[in-house]
Amino acid sequence: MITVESTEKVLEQAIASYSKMPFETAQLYKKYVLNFPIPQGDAEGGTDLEKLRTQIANESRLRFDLYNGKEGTVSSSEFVKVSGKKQNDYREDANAGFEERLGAYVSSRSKNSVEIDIPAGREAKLNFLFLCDSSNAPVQVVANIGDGSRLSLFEWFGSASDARCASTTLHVINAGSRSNVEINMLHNEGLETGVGALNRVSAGEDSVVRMNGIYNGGKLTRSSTFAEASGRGSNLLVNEIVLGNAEQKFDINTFILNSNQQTKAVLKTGAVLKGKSFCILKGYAKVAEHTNGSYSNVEERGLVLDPDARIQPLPDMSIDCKDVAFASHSASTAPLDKEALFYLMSRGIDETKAKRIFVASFLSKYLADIENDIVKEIAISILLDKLDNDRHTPVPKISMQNLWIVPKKR
Amino acid sequence: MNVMKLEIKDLHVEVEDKEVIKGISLNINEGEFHVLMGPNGSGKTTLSRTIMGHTKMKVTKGDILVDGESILKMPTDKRAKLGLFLLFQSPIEIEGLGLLNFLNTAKASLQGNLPFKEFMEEVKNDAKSLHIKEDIIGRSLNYGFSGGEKKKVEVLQMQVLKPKIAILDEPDSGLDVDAVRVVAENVNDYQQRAKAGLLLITHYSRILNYMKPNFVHVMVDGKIVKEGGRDLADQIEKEGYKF
Ligand SMILES: Nc1ncnc2c1ncn2[C@@H]1O[C@H](COP(=O)(O)OP(=O)(O)OP(=O)(O)O)[C@@H](O)[C@H]1O
Ligand SMILES: [Mg+2]
Repeated sequence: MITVESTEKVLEQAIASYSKMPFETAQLYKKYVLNFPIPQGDAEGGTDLEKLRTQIANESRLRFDLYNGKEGTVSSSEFVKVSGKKQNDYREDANAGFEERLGAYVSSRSKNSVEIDIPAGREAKLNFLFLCDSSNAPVQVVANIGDGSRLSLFEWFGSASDARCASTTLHVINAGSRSNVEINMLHNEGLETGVGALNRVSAGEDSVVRMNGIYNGGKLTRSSTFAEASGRGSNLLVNEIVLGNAEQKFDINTFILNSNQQTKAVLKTGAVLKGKSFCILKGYAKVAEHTNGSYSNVEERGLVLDPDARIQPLPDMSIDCKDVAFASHSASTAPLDKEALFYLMSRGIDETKAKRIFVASFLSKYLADIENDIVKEIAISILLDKLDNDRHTPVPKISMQNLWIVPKKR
Repeated sequence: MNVMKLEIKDLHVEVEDKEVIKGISLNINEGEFHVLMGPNGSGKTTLSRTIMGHTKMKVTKGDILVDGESILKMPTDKRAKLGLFLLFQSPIEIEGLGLLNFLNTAKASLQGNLPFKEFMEEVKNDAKSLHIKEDIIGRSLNYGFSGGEKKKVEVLQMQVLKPKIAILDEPDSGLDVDAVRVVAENVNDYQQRAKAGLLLITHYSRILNYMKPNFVHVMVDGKIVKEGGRDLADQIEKEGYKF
């Protein structure tokens, strides 16, 4: 079992580890930063959380094992504990890096600390709903997944369209040896909400860990993920989807680290940008010394659909081991492929539909990695709704009809 | 019954400000089997893409008509709806687009929705007769397919989408001996069943050993320089394009 004290320590360490992240130190990255204002005091709007919660639950047909509402944060799962935590004073330390400051903020202001504890050899499927309102209450989640356990976690982050608040989260996830873990984080906050996310993931020996991040909502999103294939033979995939329109801005920082032998760490990011949206992708891979037989890959792909949309992919890599199995990083961005559209149209598909198919196919490459079918269904519906209608909705129509658009993986 | 007529009249086409098609006239009726041969770069693919309405191909003179009406202003998907089909020399790979999903969408656009079971049955039967491996149809469109698999999947699309006039741009290139036969038999079969018109573009008479074309046209430098029957193809195979 984890205790409140040990949780605090875990969080502290996680926050401190961000000071070593390349995003704080590398010159390349310093030029491209979106400033995320750490909130001071309460915000406005987004007051009717109960209504939003009911709508999301009805439309997704999901029973949420944890949600926040009038009664505070409520959990109904035997694996989840919500411990009240008193609100510390948050003092802005101007010398600390952004991640540390955000981490300290989340940690001190959060009213509840969520602990997931899956004992060895157990299996859990958990759905969480985190709605953000004017109180700006941050979320912190610490998950310990026991040896040989399975966890499929889905987190839906939302807020009302008019909520001028900050949705800030801190995750620390430890996957035990031989565990199989899928974490799905769907950011679908309203377009007036700021999104600040810190994720710390570590994969134990021979574990399989997938972290799927879907960034669809938010006015300005700044996420920093530090994912470590720490146990020998661990297999780690960070899979990110960004869909921006209007004036949305994203600064997605992801650091994958191979710190043991025979490990596999992969970062795949796909961003589709419309309108005047803007996205910075900082994907950094490090293969530590003495990690023979490691596999590391960073792949950033952008699809830019409108002339004023912009993307800045900055993949980078540092290989400190002489005997890696594979190490590569790449980036590409492109507009809609005219030849592909011609091909689709030559089969009788009209231009609008052909464009939609093309973009959906691009997204499918990333959606295909989501194992949880219900999450996949929700994600496709939300993304297609935004593409088709060129607007963001807190609760779009969710339909199983779209599920089969994701082809089998080769 | 009305047969569909495709007429190409004194067609001139520019690509990137360069004239590639320099006055071509050709009539293809539903039910007829035409072959078009010509050296690399003579403009065969350009002609086929122009017929299908690729926006990069600029028609500077002449016309393309279907049943007497010009289709030059028609977008590509409308041309497909008239019953035209193009088998691509280099099919496009679209990772993430399931072949089945794509075919189903295309078929629904052309012929309205079909019950999914019926559609699946049809696709499976056609795939079988083309010796396409089962797992191919569950995968992304052309993505990572071998050259031969791509060509077979193009023929599969023709069979499922049922065009009235199909332009087949080198369906035999990149195919092994057995595959050429399988493709030829399937194309023959489709042509006879659907009474379709065909314009088959090829470099080799090999595929024609299994087929019975009515006309052979030879194109050099954007112009048709010779026309004849089946034997013209053999002559070219032996002697090259010396006219
Ligand atoms: N998109 C394009 N941009 C520039 N030039 C082009 C383009 N498409 C075709 N061309 C040029 O037009 C000419 C004809 O090309 P086309 O592909 O039609 O020949 P082809 O007869 O199909 O040759 P092959 O037998 O090799 O397939 C060539 O000189 C080619 O370089
Ligand atoms: Mg050609």
